[in-house]
Parts: sequence; C-alpha cells; structure tokens
Amino acid sequence: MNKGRLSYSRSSAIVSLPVMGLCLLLGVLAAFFGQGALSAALMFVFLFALAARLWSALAARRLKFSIKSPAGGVFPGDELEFKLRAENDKFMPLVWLDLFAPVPVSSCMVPEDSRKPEEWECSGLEEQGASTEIVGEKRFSLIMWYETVSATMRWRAERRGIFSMSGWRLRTGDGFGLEQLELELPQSDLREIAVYPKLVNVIPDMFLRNLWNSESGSRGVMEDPTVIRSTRDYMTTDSLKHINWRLAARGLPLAVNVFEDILPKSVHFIVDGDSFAPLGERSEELEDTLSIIGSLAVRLERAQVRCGLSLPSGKGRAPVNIFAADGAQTADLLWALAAYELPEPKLDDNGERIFPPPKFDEAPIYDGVRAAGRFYYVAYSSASLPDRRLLRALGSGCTTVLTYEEPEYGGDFETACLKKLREVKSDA
Amino acid sequence: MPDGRAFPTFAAQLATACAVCSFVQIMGMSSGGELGLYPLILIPYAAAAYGIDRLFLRRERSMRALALLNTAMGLAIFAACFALDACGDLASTLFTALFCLGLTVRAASLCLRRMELRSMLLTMELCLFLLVAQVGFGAASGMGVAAYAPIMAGAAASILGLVIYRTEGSLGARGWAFTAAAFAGIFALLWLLVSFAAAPAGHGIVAIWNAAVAAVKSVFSLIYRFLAYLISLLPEAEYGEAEMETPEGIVMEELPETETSPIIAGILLAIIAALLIYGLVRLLIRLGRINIGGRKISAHSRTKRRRAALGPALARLFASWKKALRLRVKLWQRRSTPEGLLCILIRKCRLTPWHKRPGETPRLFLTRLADSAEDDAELHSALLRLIPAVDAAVYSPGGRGVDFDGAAAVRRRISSAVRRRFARDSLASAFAKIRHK
Repeated sequence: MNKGRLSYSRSSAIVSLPVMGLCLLLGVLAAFFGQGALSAALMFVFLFALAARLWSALAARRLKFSIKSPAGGVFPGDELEFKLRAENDKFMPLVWLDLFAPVPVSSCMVPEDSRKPEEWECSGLEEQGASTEIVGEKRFSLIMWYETVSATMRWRAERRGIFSMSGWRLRTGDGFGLEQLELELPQSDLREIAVYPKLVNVIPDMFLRNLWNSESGSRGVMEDPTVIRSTRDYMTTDSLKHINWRLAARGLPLAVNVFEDILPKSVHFIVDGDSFAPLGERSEELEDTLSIIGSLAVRLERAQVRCGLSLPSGKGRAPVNIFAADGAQTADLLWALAAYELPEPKLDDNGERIFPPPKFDEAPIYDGVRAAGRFYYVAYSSASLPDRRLLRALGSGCTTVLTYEEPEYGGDFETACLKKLREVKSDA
Repeated sequence: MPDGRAFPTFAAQLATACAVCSFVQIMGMSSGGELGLYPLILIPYAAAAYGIDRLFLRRERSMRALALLNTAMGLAIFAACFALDACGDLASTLFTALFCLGLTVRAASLCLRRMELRSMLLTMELCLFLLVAQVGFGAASGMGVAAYAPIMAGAAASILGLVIYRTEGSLGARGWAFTAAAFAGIFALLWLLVSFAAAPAGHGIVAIWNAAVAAVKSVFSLIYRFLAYLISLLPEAEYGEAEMETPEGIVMEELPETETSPIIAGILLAIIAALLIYGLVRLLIRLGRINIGGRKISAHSRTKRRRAALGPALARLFASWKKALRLRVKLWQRRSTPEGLLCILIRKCRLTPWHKRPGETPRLFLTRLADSAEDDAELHSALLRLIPAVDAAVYSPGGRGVDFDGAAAVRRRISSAVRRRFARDSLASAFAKIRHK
C-alpha cells in the first residue's frame, strides 16, 4: 500500500532523525569519555526510536486492505454497512491498525463507531473540508502472521448530501506507539455515495394529465395498454398478457392485441435553487422542495412518465441538465438533487449579501424544448420570478411555475403551489 | 472522562508525578540539599488524587464540589510536604506549592476530559529527556543508581500508557508477549552496545563471554542439583533398609560420586521442560483473558478472524524466502539480457522517485529513466539502446536470452545516477522553499 500525505500523522519527536542522530552521537561521546550510565541511557533512547522506526516501516509492508461498500445511493434513515477486510500477508504481526474515516461537514452520514477528533487532527480535517466535530474510526488490534480480519462498519444516512470516502486513510505503526504511518487506500475502493432527498408522499395528478394527451413520436416509444389498435395471430414468442381472451372465449384462434405506440410527454423540472438563498444555506424550505421533487420523480417513474431535471450551478458543482429523452434514470435525478448545494454567498462593496440570478446551462435547455415535454420552473416564491431570463425565454406555453410559497403573481404563467403537492399526515 | 481510556490516563498522571519528582531531585542535587522523602511522596499522591477524583465523579457532581475536593487534597499534600521539611526557604516553598497545585489540577482535568495522543507523547518524551538528564547529572555528581528509580518508573509508565492508548487495551496475551519480546531485544542490544562501546577494545567480548559462561554454568548446576535431589528420593531396591539421604546432606563436591542413570535424567529433564512449557502456555491463556484499561469490546463484535497456525505460517515464510531467493538467482543469471536488466532497473528504482508507475510500459519507463540520466552521456545512450532491445525481448518470441552489450555499465551507473539526481532535486526544492520564504 502507498504511504500517503502525512497531514494527520502524529509521531513522537524521538523518532525524528535529528533526535536519533543526536542521541547516538551523545551516547558514543559519553561512552568515549567513560560515562557508562549516561551512554546506556542515550543508547536506550536511540535504540528505542530505531526499533520503533523499523517496526513501523515493516508493519506497513505487505498489508492488504479492501472496503466493499454498497452501490448506488441511500435515503435518510437507511443504514449502510461497509465490509472491511485486512490481510497481513507477512510473518511479522501488526500490532494496531486504524481505519480513519472523516465525516463530511454536512454530516449526511454518521458512523456508528465514532469519536471526537483530537486537536492535531482538526487542521487536516478542515483542510479537507470534513467535520471537526466527529470522525469515524475502526480499530483492528494485533493482526497475526498471515491473518485475515474481516469486520463491518456501520454508517447511518442522516440527511441529503454526497458522502465521499476520498479522505479515508489507514493508520498503523510500531507496537510502542511512537511512530504512526498513514497509508492510502486503493482508489477503486473509495467511492461516493449519495444520500437522496427524503421521500415524502406526493400527489402527482397535475403531472399525469400529460399522459392522457399523449402523442406519438420518434423516440422513447412505448405501448399504451389502454388503446388497442388491432389484433394479429398469436405467435409463441408473444406474452400471454397480450392475448385477447375475449376472442379466445368465442372459440376463435388465439390472437394478441396490438397496442397504440405513444410517446408520453415528459416532465422537466427546473429548480431555481438560488431563489431559496435569502433563507440561508440548507434551509428547511429548500430541503422540503428537493424532497418533493425527488418524490415526484419516483412517483412519476412508476406511472411511466419520464422526468428531466435542470439545476443551476451550486457550491463546487457545475450546472446540471438531465433530459428524459436521453434515457436518464430516476437515480440520476436523485443523485443530482442529493449533490445540489447553494452557491457561496456573495457580498457587495458594503458587505451586504447579494442574490444574483441562477446560472443555468441554458443552451441545452433551449435545444431540448421539444423533447423535454412540459417544463416546471420551481422557485421559492413568485417575488423572484420577474428577473429570471430562462423563464421568460421558455415562455408560458410550455412552462408551469411551481412556487414553494403560495403563488402571488405569475403573469401569463400557469402557477401552482409546490407545498400543496405534498400529502400531509402521511409522510413516507 | 467520557470514554474508558482510564489506564493510559492513569499511567500518564503517574509518569508526570515521576517527572516532577526527578526534576525536584535534580534541583535538590544542584543546590546540594538533602531531599529525603519529599519528592517521592508526590508519586503516590498523584496516583491517589486521580483515583479519588475518578471515584468522586462516578456520580454527578457540581464543579464547586470537585474544586473543593481538589483544594482539600492539594492543601493536604502541601502540608505533608511541609512536614517533610520540603519548604526550607521561600523559593522551595513556592516550587513545592506549584508542584502540588500542578499535580492536583492535572488529576482533576484528566478526569474531566479525554486524554489526547499528543499529551501522551509529550509525557513520554519529557520522561525520557529527564531520564537522560538525570543520569547525566548523576554521573557528574556521583548520584546513586537508586535515585534514578522514580524517573525510570515514570518512563516505563509513560511507554506502557502509550502502548495501551494506541491499542486501546485490546492487545491480548500474544500482543503483550510480542511487545515484551521487542523490549527484551532492545535491552539485549543495549547491553551489547554499551558493553562494546564503553569497554576498551576486546574487553567487551571477554565480559560477554564470561557472563555467558557463568550463566550456562549456573543453569546446569541448578538442573543437576534438582535431578540429584529427585534421584535421592527414589528407594534403592537392593538395600531396602538403607536410609534416604536428606537434601541438606548433598554437597557439591560429593555430587559426581552419586550414581545416576543418564536415561532417567533425560526423561526427567523432558518432563520438566514439558511441564514448564505447559505452564507457560496456560499462563499466557489466562493472561489473555485479562484486559487492561481501554474500552470494553462489545459483545456483538462483528470482527471475524482467520488465523494461520504457527507451523503453516512458518512454512509460508520459508516458501516466500525460497521464492525470493530463486528470483534473485534467476535475475542474476539473466542480468545481462534486456529483460533481466529491465527487472534489475525496476528493482533498483523501486524506492526512488523514478520508480515504475502503475500501468507504465517498459518503453515509457526506460525513456523516463534515460531522460533522468541525461547528465551521464554513456548511461543515457545505453538506456536509449536498451529500449528497442527490451521491446524485442518482451514482445517478440525470439528476442529473449540475447545479451545486451551495455548491461554492465547500466547496472554500475544507474544507482549513482539516481542518487545524484535525487540529491540535486532535493537541494533545488530546498533552495526554492527558502527563496519562497
């Protein structure tokens, strides 16, 4: 395994080369001048440090460590189990081995085995953008020769966000505890896990009406089981579900229904996250909005309505456009919603916070107007709508405005209250 | 304290008290005064203060109650020190008060918050530094060996505390045995080093030889006495009424006259050895059940272990050595062929910045190496010539086993070239840092 950056490393000063060199030099000098006891004391410190250095160097050799993490994303409240496997592929026993797992600042996932970081660890954690309040740790003690140790580490998804394992490190060292080495984990084992927005019960009726006005198209064609175009003779490869049992009951030869091909109009959400910025970072309203949109996406998928999503640029992330016509899955939408965070607040010359309009990647949205179906522009309130260029460009013909608060002004646009799409008293 | 790191914390507190004691001893020696029991009393006090505070905080208490308790303890130890004539003048009174206060406050604070690794390391470093300082000072002033006992105990406590802190007390008998063996190794090496370094030429070897001979003689003497005693207990069949000799009657000079069968002696020796091994194993198993300090392992520990027994482990070790040896022999046999030279280069550059990167082809690796060695024209050209030869050897079936004419030069020069380049790069980066500052 590779030795990593020693940003968190904490070893004793005794094992540093200058101190060891000084001890050796003074020890030899003391012996030369006949000071046996002093020479013995200095030599002891030197040998102690040397043994610690050699031991820790040998401890890190031929050590195999792997982490198996569950694929995909999770929802808040779910528990994740990471399977850890440490293999000491040498004869020398490994006295201690720690898996150091920083927790993201958002605390979207919290470990079961945790502790408060020590002072010397905090600077490294801050540098990495991890929490300085809590850190995950799993300890393996005494891994004997050619021994394999398997363990599990449980984490609990607490809130929406992206959980990255990039800062996970292994720590080991000598049995005296003087020197600590940090080892990088295999990159293939380090993944990102999305904690999706919490699912809530929603009423998707206003989106389903588009399916009833369906029209045929060239892409994403599907059969509408409610509209029978004709029948044809049964072939052995046909599904039994498609057999026309009425004809069969009349004693006629087996025939199967041929349904109408349709292209359902898809739904495309444009989330104006910046309109929630005045409420503060990770406001309840924003979280609730993302929960409702995520829940709608899941619910509409079940109803075979395809969903797309556009998000403006957020903290450290570029604008996102996911189009249903490109074959996007609901998981992609949920991932994008999980990763979205409001951009860093901006200040004017007087130190006052300003709220610039959202930065969407607009060109693909304009290009995809025909394939995207109807747009749903989601904002906090109608007060922020007049200066939204994208909304004006899309026009009221294909766009509905959904506001978290009760809409006061929508102009030509069809408006609806997003909060009301949530079924109260029966949260998922 | 929020977690169960009680033993390392206790060890650190004890080590601090030992360090204070040592410091007072050094101060006392420099002033030429007699210290008596005064600094020694701080050691049990520090341990007791920590224990009392922990017991006191087992139930919920107010900070005022804790402060009052510690004030009372601090005043009591100060009064005890005063009674032991620790406060001769104003300066010594002030220092005594400071030490008492410091140890009391530390005991209380260690009970309130979790001990950090940095504190453990600092305590151990302080103890080792004071050990060296006191030994040095003692050597100059003719101090007795007994005076080093507190700081040696402190150093031992701090090291033990650190070991338990790192392993969270779940080391087990095997782990402790391994750590103890490492310490034994260090002390053995220390003894050898000091004997050699401190003694005039040749004297060290004589001393070691004499000590070894004396040790072996004493061990054999003990075994012989024990066997003789056991044999004397056996009744003699031919002389049924003969009286048994008492053990007290055995004299060293008379021993060779005792008739002993070598077979019986061998059997007895084997039985004793087997019993000793059995006892040792039982003791280790018993010790393994005792956990010192640290967090208790939860009952539903989800850790699974797949251990290898010592025999198969040794077999694997020997097999790996055999494999490594075979590889080296093979490499030596093919040291002049392009493919062998490539392997040698990879091995030589393994621990340097020019190590072969994952996924790098031989051609890319050799090109990078040739660029790095451009100062050495001969090596540079040899490496460039090596590239097509390696390509031929690696990718064409008939290209193997042909000697490369510049192999010896490449082997000879590559290490020095890498070292030279490394030194130059290190110096350049150091200068750049200094210039940047």
